[in-house]
Amino acid sequence: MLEPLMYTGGVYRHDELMELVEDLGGHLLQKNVMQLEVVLLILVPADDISAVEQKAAELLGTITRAPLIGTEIAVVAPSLAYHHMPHPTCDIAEYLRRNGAKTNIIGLARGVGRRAAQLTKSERGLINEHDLALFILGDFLSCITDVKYQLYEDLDVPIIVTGGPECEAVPYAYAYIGGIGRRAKGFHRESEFAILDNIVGMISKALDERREELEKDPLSVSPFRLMDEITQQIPEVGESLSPTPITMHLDGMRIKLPYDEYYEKIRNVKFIEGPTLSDVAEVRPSFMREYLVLTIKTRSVAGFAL
Amino acid sequence: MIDSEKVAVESPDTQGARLIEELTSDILSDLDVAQSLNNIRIFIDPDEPVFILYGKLAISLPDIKISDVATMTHTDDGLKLDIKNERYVNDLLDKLVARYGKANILQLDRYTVLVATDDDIPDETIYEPTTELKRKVIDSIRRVAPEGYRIIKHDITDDYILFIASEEPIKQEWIDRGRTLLKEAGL
Repeated sequence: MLEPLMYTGGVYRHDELMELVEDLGGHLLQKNVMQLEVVLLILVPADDISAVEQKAAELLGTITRAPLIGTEIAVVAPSLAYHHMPHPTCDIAEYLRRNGAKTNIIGLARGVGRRAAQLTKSERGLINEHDLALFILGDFLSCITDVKYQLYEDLDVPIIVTGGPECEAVPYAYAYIGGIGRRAKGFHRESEFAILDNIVGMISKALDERREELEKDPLSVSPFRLMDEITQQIPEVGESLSPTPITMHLDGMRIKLPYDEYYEKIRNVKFIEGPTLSDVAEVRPSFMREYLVLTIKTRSVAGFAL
Repeated sequence: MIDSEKVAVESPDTQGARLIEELTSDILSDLDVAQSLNNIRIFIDPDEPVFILYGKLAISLPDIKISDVATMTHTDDGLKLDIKNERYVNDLLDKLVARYGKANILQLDRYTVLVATDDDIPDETIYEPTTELKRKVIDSIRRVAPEGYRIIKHDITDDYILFIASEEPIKQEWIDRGRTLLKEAGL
């Protein structure tokens, strides 16, 4: 069982922590260097957390648990106009990021109003590539319960909805969190942070359920092992300027390389046991730029597990 | 902090009304128009759908004229303007360029402008704080109104603003309702 952790500390000697994680059989998912500070998103075997904490203390850094590491979450706003940005959309996305998630803010082309509110085909495809979608809606209950569900009713990923009014549940959504709505100010008060924590808790719960579902018919290869193989066999991944050249999903990943150029190379990544990547995963073009999306086949589909 | 004397929202959805009230106060103070727009009354019904806002405008600043910004003296090189208030230099230059053409204007330094003319410049208005304020008020109201309400009818004078927005074509009954708000406010 791997524990998701976030290390924050100085650049000096941080490579020692990276080596330790590798030695323990953990994974480094993301490394962000900001001047003299470094933030590492890591996965460490649960039994060895104390060793990592000890090393972090030695380097005068801090280790915090970041439950959303290894997931990509779509934060969907009806549009990118000042009615929704920067508060609350960016604030929520940033809070999820601090809890380890990779977030993408998506502003819909026709998300506003009642009459025209709808999702385009490419928006639907793009949102379905994520592990979960968080919809940021407005202040009126009748809009949220009677109309806006049209935006997410036929999406395949779990949906969490936030809005202004308090209400128990909304149709087609996994959960509804009130008390946000349209805001012209940031989140400053303790009660407001409680709402953000509630969102993180609800997302973790939804993702845990998805993980449990995956365990019933496990993936044919661990996504983290697949990530390591791809990074080793395709060196261009490391040359990408993106902060996360490989963005992890619960059942696959997004690889930020052009589809046409790398499709064959990715399919032919070899495992030491014999099979190639195309035996254990499906590769398709992403709706985001020219990237690749990879979905790992389950054991029942692939017929074996590595 | 919401001043309920300042903003009052009426809506069939009471939770939504409270949230819109808070949003309006925040936006007005953020955009620096809280002091200029008083006695705000909003009616919003998402089922209709309609958003009506009435507010009383408090405009106190007078228009800025050329004589408020610069002193003029005739010299051998032409008319010399000594700038007293640098804040309005751009507006002054725009006005001069429109009147005399770019070729006839020379800005020697931050505070001195030469104009190639022997006549006095008419003391015209170069900046209207009222126009600027109205622009800011309309901008802030558009941020309060729901984004989908793109059909807008507004009436703005020196005393008040009446703003009606909807997703559907504006109905006469909404305009009448707006007029009632005006009457209630004594205008």
